[in-house]
Amino acid sequence: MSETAATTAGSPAPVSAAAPFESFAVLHREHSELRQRCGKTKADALRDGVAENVRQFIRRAAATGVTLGEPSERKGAQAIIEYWCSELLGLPNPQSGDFKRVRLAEPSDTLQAAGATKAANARPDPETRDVIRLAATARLWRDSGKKGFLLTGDALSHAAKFRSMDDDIEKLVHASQKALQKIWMISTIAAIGGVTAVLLFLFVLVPLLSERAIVAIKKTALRDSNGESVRDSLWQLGLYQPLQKPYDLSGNILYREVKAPGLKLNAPNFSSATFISVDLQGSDLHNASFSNTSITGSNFNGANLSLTQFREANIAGTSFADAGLYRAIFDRACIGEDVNFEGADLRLASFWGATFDDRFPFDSKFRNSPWWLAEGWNSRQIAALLTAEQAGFFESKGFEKHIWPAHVKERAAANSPGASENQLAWDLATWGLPPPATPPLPSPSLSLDQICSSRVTVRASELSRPELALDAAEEAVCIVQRLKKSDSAPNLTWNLANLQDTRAYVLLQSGRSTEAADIYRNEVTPILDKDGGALFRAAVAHQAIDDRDLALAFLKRSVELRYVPSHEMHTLRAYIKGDFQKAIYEQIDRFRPSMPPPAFCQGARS
Amino acid sequence: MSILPNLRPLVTKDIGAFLNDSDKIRDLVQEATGENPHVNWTNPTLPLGKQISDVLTGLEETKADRWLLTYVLIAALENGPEHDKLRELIVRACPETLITTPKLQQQVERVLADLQQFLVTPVPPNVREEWRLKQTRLQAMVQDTARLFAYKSLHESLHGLKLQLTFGEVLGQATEAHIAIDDALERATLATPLLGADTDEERVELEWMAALKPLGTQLEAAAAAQDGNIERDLIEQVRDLIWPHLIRLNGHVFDAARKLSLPAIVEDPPLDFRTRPEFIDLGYAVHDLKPTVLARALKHRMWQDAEKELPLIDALLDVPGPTKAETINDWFRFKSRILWLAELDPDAGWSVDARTFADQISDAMADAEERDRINIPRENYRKLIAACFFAIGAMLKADCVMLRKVNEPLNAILQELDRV
Repeated sequence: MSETAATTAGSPAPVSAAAPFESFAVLHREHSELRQRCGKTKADALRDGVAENVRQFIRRAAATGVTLGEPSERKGAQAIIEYWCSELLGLPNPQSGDFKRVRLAEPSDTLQAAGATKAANARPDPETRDVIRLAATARLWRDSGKKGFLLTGDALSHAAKFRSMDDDIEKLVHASQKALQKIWMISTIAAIGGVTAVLLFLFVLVPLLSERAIVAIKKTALRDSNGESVRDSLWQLGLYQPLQKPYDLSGNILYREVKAPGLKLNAPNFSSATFISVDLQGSDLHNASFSNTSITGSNFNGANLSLTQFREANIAGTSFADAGLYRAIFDRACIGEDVNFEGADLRLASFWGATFDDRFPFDSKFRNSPWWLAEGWNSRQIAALLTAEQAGFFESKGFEKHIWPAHVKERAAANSPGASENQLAWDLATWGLPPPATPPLPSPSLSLDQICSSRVTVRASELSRPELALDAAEEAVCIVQRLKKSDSAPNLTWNLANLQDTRAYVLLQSGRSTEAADIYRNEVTPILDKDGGALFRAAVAHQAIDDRDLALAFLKRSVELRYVPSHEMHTLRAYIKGDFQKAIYEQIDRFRPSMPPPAFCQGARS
Repeated sequence: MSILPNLRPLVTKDIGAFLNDSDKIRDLVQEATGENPHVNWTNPTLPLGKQISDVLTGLEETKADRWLLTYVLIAALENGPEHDKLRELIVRACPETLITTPKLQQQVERVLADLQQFLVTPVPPNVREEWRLKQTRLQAMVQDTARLFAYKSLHESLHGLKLQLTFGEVLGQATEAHIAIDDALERATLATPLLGADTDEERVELEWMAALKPLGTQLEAAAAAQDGNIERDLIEQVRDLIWPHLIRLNGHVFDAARKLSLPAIVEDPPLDFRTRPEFIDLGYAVHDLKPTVLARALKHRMWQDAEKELPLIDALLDVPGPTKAETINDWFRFKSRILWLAELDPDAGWSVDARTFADQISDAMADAEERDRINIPRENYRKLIAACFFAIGAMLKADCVMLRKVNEPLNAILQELDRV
């Protein structure tokens, strides 16, 4: 470094003792630290020491000039020097040298040229731009009368970092935070208000309105000639139903001319009421109670009446066509001649002790309705029901709606080998397979192993449903048969017998009674000897091959086990004839004796 | 005007925290009011904020709370820039400290009236003797006001010269430059004797005046020769010569204002005086007058500090790299301080320009392409700050002139004491 690297105005001052700072950044850092130290040193005695530090700093800063080529850095360094020269004069006991202006040492020509190039390419760094732009945003907000432009989310967090740098940014951040707080407060108040309103609505208003609607029904029903008032009240109740417990609409209430198709009520209680010309088609009234209710000229077509009770109800001139009557109970009900169950889902419905009008046309009113899946029929009713037309049953709405989707679900959830296939086969079999168009040809007697080994996998969609039933039954049997052969398999004898029961049942319906009888005799009944159903079906299979002794023997054992046939009466009707039929009817009537009709059931004897 | 009630708790708390010591509170209150706060208003065992609150309550009864707050402002300035917020809080809570400061002229007239009353009342011989002991102190009072006036006059002469040289009005017109130098020297020559003949203070001032004189002569010659290079070099030399003295003189102005000993006139009065209404009123008047002078000196000092810092920030803003973020930080702080200072004189309307120019600079900083555009607002900003500083200096100068009127009765009292 030159002896005269730094000069003072007027006279050169030697600065050889002063080492330059490594760079402008270091010089700037030292400047900042010195400012902080000076700001904190108030005692005059200490400030003397500070003055000396300042002088030393000025000397080093001036010497740094030889390393600074970039013009802006040189200008900055000179400004720093001048700042400290001024400060020095404000400190106690200035020296004569303090009154002289110190200039930055000159750099080499090469350094100057390089610095000029660097300066030409200089751009503000991204963070600096961020701060400046943020400040510009803050000013925009300020100048716009402090409307709009408020920050939220990440932008607010980012701006908060720089809030201490600028008043405008501070005010913008403050206003933004206040606005957010306000929004939060409003939201909280709104939420509290909303929750309160909902709670009030749920626990005060809705129960009150529901109660009023029920009272209105009870008060106006008698004089409501066109049913509109009651209908409106019922609609109201339907509206509140998702938030309310089941309604009690029972008692001596007259529902006349009420047109409320599609009404949705959860387990409403209409017990002991009177329905005249009420239209509830397509409604959802599952778990409802119509016990002891008088229903006349009404329409429940397509309604969901699953698990609904019609115990001791008096029903006349009413249609349940295509209605869902799964597990519905018509026990001891009185059913007039013009009550229609056509296409209704009667699975596990109960008609125990139900009285049908003498003239009740079972053949037409139970058309395409799986009455055999219902329970409680006496022999006279079964005999009459067997006349009902069941054509195109697999294509019926009931099958498509209730049986097929359930089967698909079960297949997905099956957790035991062959269970889903067996369930499919069983569903199809109990639903009833159509009789073969032509008697099947005698098939060679094949062992189960032979059957299983020769099975060809065919896509289910390519099979008719009777074929599908047999295919599924065989598949189920073969799966368990294969498993049974492996050493690690549990005892599957009972399972296999159960699956064989299904397979034989399907075979029997398909006209292959010999095979079915063999299976029942050899594979099923030895194992399922306490299963009344299997024994009953074994009896029918042997009846089908004219082995009457064995048929009666199996029938006797099923009676002993108190088995009452249901679906078999329809699916195996071709084999239940003559004395065999008589014996079965006797068996049924033993457990389901005809009962005298209830007093309210005028002219009915069935 | 009292402290705004909603800010009062904050003010007392922050002042308590700032002074941080019962003795400091006592000393500052005593300096501002001439009274020991622990005797009159509070006790040193109380929390500091409570002591301040008690003192302010006592002072508010006589509308003297401004006195203490002004002294706190001065103390905050002397303790560094980190107390900017305390200064802002005090001014906002009590605008009378720096914004709606009372008119010095009225205050001086009140002091003069009280002194006049005092002069016309016959003084008993024993009291006269007692006053004779205070003669030195009275002479110091006279000298203090003269010193303040002298330093402010010297400062003003150099400041005016600097402005002329800096903003180019005389650049390239050497004739004008040497006339400006002559004018400054002429005014300085009038002020210097007030510092005391043959004193060190006078010698310091005469030195720079002696150094400046030949530069003026050379500038005149350069102008005649129409040599621009020499002219520029000479002007640079003039600037180099005057800038340290400007800073030094500004320090002297502030110190002289701080050391004004006017209140000493009412300290330890003879017993007979203590009950005389004109003396009681004089006590209030002189204590009320000094904070007004101090407020002006404080503003003067703050503007000078700002003018000193601007070139630094200005230069550093152009330096790219890792130091930029810190400089931006400094810039934002600086422009806030300038705006606050400008708002202390709402009638002058400086704040609008201060905000506009600062915003223009900030906007242009965002884009490197705008660098050329930034020079105009920067120049405007520099001029604005210089103009504000000069204007505040002129107001302080007017106050000094006004204050010197007090010397007249004081000199009369001194002559009376000499006569006897």
